[in-house]
Amino acid sequence: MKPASFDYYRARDLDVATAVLAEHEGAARILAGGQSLVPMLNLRLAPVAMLVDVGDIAELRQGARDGDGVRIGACVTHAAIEDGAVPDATRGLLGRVAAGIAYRAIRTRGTIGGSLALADPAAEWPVTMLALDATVRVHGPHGKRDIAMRDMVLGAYTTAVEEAEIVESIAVPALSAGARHGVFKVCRKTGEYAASIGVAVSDREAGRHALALGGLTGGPARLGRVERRLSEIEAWSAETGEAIREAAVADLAERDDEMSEDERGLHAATAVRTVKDMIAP
Amino acid sequence: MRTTRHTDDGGGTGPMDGAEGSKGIGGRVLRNEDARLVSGRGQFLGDIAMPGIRDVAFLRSPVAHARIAGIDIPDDIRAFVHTAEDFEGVAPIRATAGVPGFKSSDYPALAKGKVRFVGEPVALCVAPSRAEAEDIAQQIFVDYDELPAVVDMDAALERGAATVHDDWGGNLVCELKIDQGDMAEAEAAAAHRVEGEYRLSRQAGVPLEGRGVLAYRDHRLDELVVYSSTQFPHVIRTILAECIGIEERRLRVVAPDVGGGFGVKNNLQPEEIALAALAMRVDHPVRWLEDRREHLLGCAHAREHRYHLVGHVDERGRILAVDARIRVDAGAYSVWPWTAAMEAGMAAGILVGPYDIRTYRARAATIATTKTPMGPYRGVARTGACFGIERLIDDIAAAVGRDPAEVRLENMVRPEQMPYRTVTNKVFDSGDYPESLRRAVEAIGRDAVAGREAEALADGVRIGVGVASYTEQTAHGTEEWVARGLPVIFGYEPATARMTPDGGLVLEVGIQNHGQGLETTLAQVAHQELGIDPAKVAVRHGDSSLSPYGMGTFASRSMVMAGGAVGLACERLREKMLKIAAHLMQVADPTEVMLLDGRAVAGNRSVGFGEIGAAACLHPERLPPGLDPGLEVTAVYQPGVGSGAFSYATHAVRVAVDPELGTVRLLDYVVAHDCGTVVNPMVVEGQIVGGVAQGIGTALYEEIPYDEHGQPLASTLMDYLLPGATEVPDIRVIHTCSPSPHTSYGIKGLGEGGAIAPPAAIANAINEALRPLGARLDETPISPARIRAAVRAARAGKREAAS
Repeated sequence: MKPASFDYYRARDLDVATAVLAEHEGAARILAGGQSLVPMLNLRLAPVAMLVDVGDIAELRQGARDGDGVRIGACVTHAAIEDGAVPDATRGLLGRVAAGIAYRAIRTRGTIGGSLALADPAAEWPVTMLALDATVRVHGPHGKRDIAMRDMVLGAYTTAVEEAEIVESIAVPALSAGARHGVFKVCRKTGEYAASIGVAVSDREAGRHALALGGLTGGPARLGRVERRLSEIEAWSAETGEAIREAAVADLAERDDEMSEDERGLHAATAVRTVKDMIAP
Repeated sequence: MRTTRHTDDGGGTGPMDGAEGSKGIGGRVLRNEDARLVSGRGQFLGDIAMPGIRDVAFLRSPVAHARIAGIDIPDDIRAFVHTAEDFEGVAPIRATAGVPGFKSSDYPALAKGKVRFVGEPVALCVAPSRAEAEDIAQQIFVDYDELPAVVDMDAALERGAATVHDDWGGNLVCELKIDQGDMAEAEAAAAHRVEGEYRLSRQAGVPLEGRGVLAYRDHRLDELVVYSSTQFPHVIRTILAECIGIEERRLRVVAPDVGGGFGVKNNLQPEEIALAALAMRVDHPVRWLEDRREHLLGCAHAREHRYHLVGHVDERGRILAVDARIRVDAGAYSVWPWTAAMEAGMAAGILVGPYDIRTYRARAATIATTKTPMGPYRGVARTGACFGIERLIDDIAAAVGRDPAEVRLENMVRPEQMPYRTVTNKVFDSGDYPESLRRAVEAIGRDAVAGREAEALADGVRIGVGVASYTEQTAHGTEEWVARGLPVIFGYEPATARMTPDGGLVLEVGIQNHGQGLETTLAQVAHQELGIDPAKVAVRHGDSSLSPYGMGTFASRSMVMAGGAVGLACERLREKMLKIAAHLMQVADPTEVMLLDGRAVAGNRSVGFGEIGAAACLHPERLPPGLDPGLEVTAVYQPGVGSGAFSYATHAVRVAVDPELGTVRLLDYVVAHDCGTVVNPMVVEGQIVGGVAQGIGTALYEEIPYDEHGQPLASTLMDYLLPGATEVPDIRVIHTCSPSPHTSYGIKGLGEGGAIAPPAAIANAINEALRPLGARLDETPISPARIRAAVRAARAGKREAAS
């Protein structure tokens, strides 16, 4: 389990990195934290001619306030977010999600941009950013463009980011002072990928209610019927839970009619527990 | 990890009571080996550097079952590739068992003609680095003429199934039959017939350090030197010499620091043969380091057992008879020396557990499949047997409406029956089995469970408690191994004790310490005999050129066997030391001399060990007339009986099960155990906790499933889950002490016990938690998907019953 030989380029700025990527026409891969890519290289699953390391590009390593919200550089690590080393506008949601990713050793190297660009169906950031209506900014041969999270993940390990484009940053809108959030993850052991993961946000002031689920076949999904219920919930009760479950089952059936009864039950349970975590933690 | 001890009660800790502060047997002595291990200065196989060394990568079969129609190797790499045809004259692994009808198999170092499992070595590639060796492997084209895979052990026995070995005429390796007592009579007398099918899935051993081999020719000594991450270097020397055709005197096998073995490094490995044969053919050192993928595919697997059990019981749950059909999926080949037959034989032999069962029928089939060969793994067959009988007992308890602990007490061998010969001729030497059960149940809090409905937690989470009891045959000697018909009889262990001129002690032993603390505990035995500080004792092991021939570390034997040998050697060394000391102090009678804290003392006179060592080694003129110079004794120890010293324990666990998600949390875990005289309580607790952690892995996480083509579905640690620190709760350990009447100091082995009971105890707890829902879990690992499926099936069953 050692990688086949490859060329390595340590980029200092985005334009050069983009140019190197373009030059290799799909045979180059972007190396950020390497926590998913390097094991894949070791398994020799796909030939890679060139690694473009973007970890040294200073602008990718910063997080800053951006209007009411924050803009987080693609190479900010999960650990930096967990530790509060970048500003937060989500009332602690980002830190909480970051702390649940894999193990600390992985969090110290793994990056938020890498996670979004890889789009593992079970990963934390795609589902969280979908719930937050974040926007991904990518840098390509023709300049920068923004991709709304709703349009970002096209399927498992497939995103709207084009071949020679690099994820540059993520803009996360602010939550209001009274906003609440919930997170619930089903996984067999600490550090394991989630079998199912939910992130809920309820921001009455802004009139925004979101529930996103991950661990599904393909990319993460927003559950519209559940979200409409969220605006009506005052307190938690068994009836509330059943109402959420019914709505989630309907949403899931609409999204994927081939989903097994077991998966549907599991993801619906995640939806219920995510909302419960938000309302009655 | 927190452990609590209960040594202050009537149970006592036996003859070594109050010894915890001492440096001898019973003392909580810090480990000699820890300084190098915890500071990263251990020397494992991958740490050994050697000029000109080259790395080896194996090309392994990607298919389960095929004829090799051809191997195409490009000319420019041909010199760096070796296949079976380059290893002419190298013998395959051929293990034979004494079981009637046993079919042996040739397990070649590199596949010959056919491949029989995914991961089987086909070619060996040599390069300056492992990455380059893998580049070479990628350029080899093997033409596989695929054959049907043999994946399921029960299907493998059906008519028309493909056969793993062409000349066998079927896939049955052997079947062991036991018929004791009158089954018909028991059946007729029984109030209930309780039946169940209980299964353990296939898993790997996964020591922290994978396997590895480094080999080179030492021209000065005219020998081949093989470093291997093995548990038994002397025995490997013997069989390796035979396989590659070299005299044993010209072969040295060294096990350096070994990062865990657990049994999977207790087999002759095809890679050991390949590297040794390669080193004989090239002029530079060669090295192979197993990676995780190779480990999961190519290293011996464990645990895949199926038990169909019928218990005939009276209305109180007293077991009148057990009727067992056991099947073991042994994979493609027999490992040496254990053979494929060992698992089923042991499982049938120990299935009756600590219970007084006199009517017993067993049919134990060993079945070949196109999967990785099965080998020993901590607990060996006992983890499966314990799972079978302990699940059955809980089912019996449910059938008769009694508490499972009470049903166990009803059936357990009682202390006044000791020594007790079981229906399968195992001799339980000593102990109070019911007491271990009572202590474990008391500690886990059975009363609280009676009110478990009140404890019902949020989200439908349910609480359950489970217990499992077992006996652990340890340090079995000549008689047991002869009965099993093995090619090597592991009946003894040697030790050389040598005092240096400055009064230090060197112990040379034939075992291999790879985490058992033996560099400390053997020194504690020396302290017991000589009064020498364990910190001044060097324990040397793991090298066929260093100590007398020894068998190695496995089967929970080293503390009893090597401990006995060290004790014996030191006892004889002491006699000579006393004579020298008496002479030096001018005391007429050596029996008036005592050895204490590194000095020989008689009344108010004393001499240090340094003076004794100097007289013996440097100054023969200071010795008593007629006494030979030197201070060195070699002793060989065999326990008083060959049937083993039986440790025992009861594990009790409290779990919280979420039926909707299928997740399980372990809330509390208690081990009430007895391993006779404890040499070092900290080492014992470490062994128990580590074993339980692995047992939790078997119970809840670890599994290598295969698809219908014989492809393993867990070949990286992404798919193969191991328990980590957050999955293992604090284990509370309760010690009692029933010394073995047959061993020195009354020591019993305990290396494997921790890993025996957790699957049974945890499964019993989960089943108790889910019983109100009607769900049953009888197959490990008890994964969330299996729990959800069982809950769903129970609901569907109820709906059907209602309609």
